[in-house]
Amino acid sequence: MNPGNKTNTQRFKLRVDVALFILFVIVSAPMATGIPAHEWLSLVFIPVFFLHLLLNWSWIKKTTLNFFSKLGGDRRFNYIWDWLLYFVMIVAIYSGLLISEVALPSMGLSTHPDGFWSTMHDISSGLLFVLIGVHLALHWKWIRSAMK
Amino acid sequence: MNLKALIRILVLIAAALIIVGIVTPLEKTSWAEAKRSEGRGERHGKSDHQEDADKAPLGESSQQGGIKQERRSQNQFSMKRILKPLAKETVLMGIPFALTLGVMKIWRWKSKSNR
Repeated sequence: MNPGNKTNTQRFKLRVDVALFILFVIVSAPMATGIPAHEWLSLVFIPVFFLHLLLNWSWIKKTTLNFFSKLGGDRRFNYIWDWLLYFVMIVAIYSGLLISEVALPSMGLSTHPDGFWSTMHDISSGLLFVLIGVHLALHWKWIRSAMK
Repeated sequence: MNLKALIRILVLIAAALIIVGIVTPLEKTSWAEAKRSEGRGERHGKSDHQEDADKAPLGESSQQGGIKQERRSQNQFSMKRILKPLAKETVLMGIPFALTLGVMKIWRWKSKSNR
């Protein structure tokens, strides 16, 4: 794709994706940032994550409708993988909210951190690295063309 | 906000709620209960503040110890503290990324040569 052919939506999509990736890298290192920054940045990450999904809605819709008919194996795998990623991301977000020690309590919302949800948060966030690594590779063609 | 965007957000929220619904009952399973009781004394079973409190020297209240430890760790800026998690992230994301790209390349090359 030529840079001249890029639409404003594609440019916006790329900016959102880059922001999402940078946020993920920072948020995934609570040992480096400290727990307060980890929690506040995670609250910024959530709307950007949903925006990423909304911006790619036409792909999601098209792939869902054609899942059992026209899709090739790679695209079908990609779609299932993205669902898996969404599942694990929701678990990480939900468990993260439940074990929040700084952000939510400071907003007056009481949380009850417990071992179960801490474990869920640890497992899901660990899995996210692998899932996102593969997700990036599956969409690498688009990323490369958008970066040009 | 137009209706389409609202519907899309609602679909995403509904899907998220279903996932939360699937995951939540797990808390009540014997596995979770066993893990929780077993986790006492391990990293997973504790909040960061609890863990800090455990590091308090004898004679100091656990809360004081936790706060002191937190301040000390906030004051200690070291590159190792930043680089170590970044290196872990790079490896954990990089290996599946590289493997997937490799597999995709082989798969494309194979399907090309089959034609």
